[in-house]
Amino acid sequence: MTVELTTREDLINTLHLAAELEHNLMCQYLFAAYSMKRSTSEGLDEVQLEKTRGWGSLMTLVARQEMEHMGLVLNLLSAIGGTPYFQRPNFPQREERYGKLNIKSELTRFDKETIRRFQGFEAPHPEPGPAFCATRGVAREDIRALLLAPQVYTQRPAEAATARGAQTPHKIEFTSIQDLYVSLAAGFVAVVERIGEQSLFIGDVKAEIWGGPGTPYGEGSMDDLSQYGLDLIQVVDLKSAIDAIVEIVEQGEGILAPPDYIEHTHYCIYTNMLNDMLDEKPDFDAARPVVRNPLTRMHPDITAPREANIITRPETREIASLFNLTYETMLLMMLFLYGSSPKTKQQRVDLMNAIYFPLMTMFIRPLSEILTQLPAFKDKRGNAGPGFELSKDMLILPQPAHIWSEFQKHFDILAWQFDNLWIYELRPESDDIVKRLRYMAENMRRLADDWRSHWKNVGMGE
Amino acid sequence: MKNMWLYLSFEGYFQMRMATDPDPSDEPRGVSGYTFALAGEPDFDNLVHLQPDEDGVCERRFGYGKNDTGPRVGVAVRQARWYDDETLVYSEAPEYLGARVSFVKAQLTERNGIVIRNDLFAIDPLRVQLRKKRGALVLDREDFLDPNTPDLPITQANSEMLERRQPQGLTSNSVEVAKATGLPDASNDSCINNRRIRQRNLEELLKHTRNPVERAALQTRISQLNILRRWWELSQGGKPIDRRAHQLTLQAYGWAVDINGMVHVNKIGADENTNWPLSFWIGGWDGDALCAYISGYLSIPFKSGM
Repeated sequence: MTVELTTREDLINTLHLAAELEHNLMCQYLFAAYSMKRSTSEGLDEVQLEKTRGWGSLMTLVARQEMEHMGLVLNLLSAIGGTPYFQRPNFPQREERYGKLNIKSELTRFDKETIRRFQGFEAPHPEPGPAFCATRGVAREDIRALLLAPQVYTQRPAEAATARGAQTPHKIEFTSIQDLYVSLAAGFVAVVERIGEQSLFIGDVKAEIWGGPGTPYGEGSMDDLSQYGLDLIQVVDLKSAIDAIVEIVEQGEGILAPPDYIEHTHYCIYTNMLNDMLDEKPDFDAARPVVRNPLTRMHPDITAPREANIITRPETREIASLFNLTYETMLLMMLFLYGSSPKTKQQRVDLMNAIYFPLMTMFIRPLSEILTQLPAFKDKRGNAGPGFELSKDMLILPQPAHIWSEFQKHFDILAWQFDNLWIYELRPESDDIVKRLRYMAENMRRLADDWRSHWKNVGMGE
Repeated sequence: MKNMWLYLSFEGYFQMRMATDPDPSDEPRGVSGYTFALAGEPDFDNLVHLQPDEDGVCERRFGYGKNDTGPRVGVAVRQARWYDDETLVYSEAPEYLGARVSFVKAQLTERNGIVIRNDLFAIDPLRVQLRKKRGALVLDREDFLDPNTPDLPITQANSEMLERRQPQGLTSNSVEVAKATGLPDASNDSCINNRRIRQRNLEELLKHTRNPVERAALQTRISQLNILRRWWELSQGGKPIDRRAHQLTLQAYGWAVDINGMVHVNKIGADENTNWPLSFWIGGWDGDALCAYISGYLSIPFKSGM
């Protein structure tokens, strides 16, 4: 069942929805991964700890690939003249938020119920039998043929095309993520047939971020993305657009996956993980006692407020706020990176050098892991976690002439906040969490100084 | 005044138990990278261990029986010579053969792009010790990032200071590394073959292992050794060799630091007012063993002969 997409606007609106969903799932997967226990001092024996670490490795691989999918969607958007899209409603959201897609948006710790939910997100449709993950898939060329074959449409996405906005739930007719991408592939073919390839692919290809051999961002890890299980395709025409979509559906649902890849698809990773968990003793709990949807405050766009847990422990709340500010800074930088406002190659490299490794790996993740170790409440049990909260007006960029100094301001504020956390007064310097925060404080100061010096080096002064 | 130099050529495997990106650099056990503190092993200490008896070294088995072959930690002087810069004559210094070199609490630091980018790790702190073959400590000197601010943390170092502690560059498929570590050649095929042999040896070891903790650790290592080429069909061409294999012949070359700081021990009368040039390369990183090879020179000046 596919939804018919016939115009550039249809494609752009559907790609915005795809970006929102990839972003949403990535946050859910990361939340679960960061809730996992990391030491035998948390009640695991050595074998259980090894098992937990293995599950954690897979969870983070899948989350990385969700980031990659989001990157591919952003490249598809850029290629056809769309704008980058980083919005999504705050957690938690009722299932109805995404219509027939049945995506429950909530942040929950790693357990069987959570993995079963994730398995459902990634499930091929119709859902295959239990032997699916042990079977071989189909060849890559067959996948292209399937995607390019004439489709039988059941709907036009009129509501999806007009009612965008994170605040207002809207009618979504796609029945699964697979359905959304298959519809997109068919839509790209249909629009090219109608207006021609040159007329569809009018975007600024420089706004795309892509990796692998030949990438313009070769200095660093972008020429070597496969080491991280990633492949970011540059989209310039119909063939590369279909390649990008094929990659997403192969890695995710896997129903079209090529031979030997099926066990690495997200659906099979979660299926096998769940089977593994079911084989373990019932008292083996691989996750910390993290509460559902821990937030610093209630947001007006939340549609399931009763499922939110407001963090009341002040020192934890402060760190949760710091996490949110770091996350917003990263998204703001990504919005500018993917946007079409003029940038030199060096400026693009500087942005990527700040985002992809430092902000993601040295702040977002460690802060998340720390939050899952800290009590959420003053008066009851349960640990906090990263809420991935977005303020209503975030992702509004200042004028390009001021953007570099705006980022500097963000880094300087973050550096100050890392230096002045209340938890330093409550716990000894020898405390592991304090040591880790101090390490991050050092790193954020360095990042702020580095950003400042790059700014001078590239001649971006006022 | 007659000037003499003692040139010590050292080499061997060292261990460095550290997380690899995209894990954060302070990750204690490894999750999303490809190096792990396995079941039964302590957390990573991130330290460069040139000697097997240093606290924190955790050597692994590489196979069952005669197949238990792999890197063994130990960096020692392989060639020692005196050089008289008046007569320009070299002479052997056999009393230093087998002497043990250590870098005290050194780390190869990058912090995922915050301090260093592109895997050109800086070594910090840098303090060199030399022990005679029987263990007596004869030399111990540290290097300062900034001699005017000896306690300067690396996060406050400027680029000039960092470059002193970095390699000049990276060489893939280094013949020099392959020769040092015993690979038949420096090709990707040799790297992949080496990993396959290691995997087979570990599978054999697993068959003879009953301890569930050791079995869990071995199973993780065996599954990691499955990843030699990325399974994903890259859009931009080819299936590149995975870093787990590629790094067996990757060389970080051209570290050259004139050790400039405080002398803590000097039992051989070295000139303490002159810097002691240290140069080395590192390569052949074996992510399964958490070991790499180092080969270098330490040059020690003397003011008035032996």
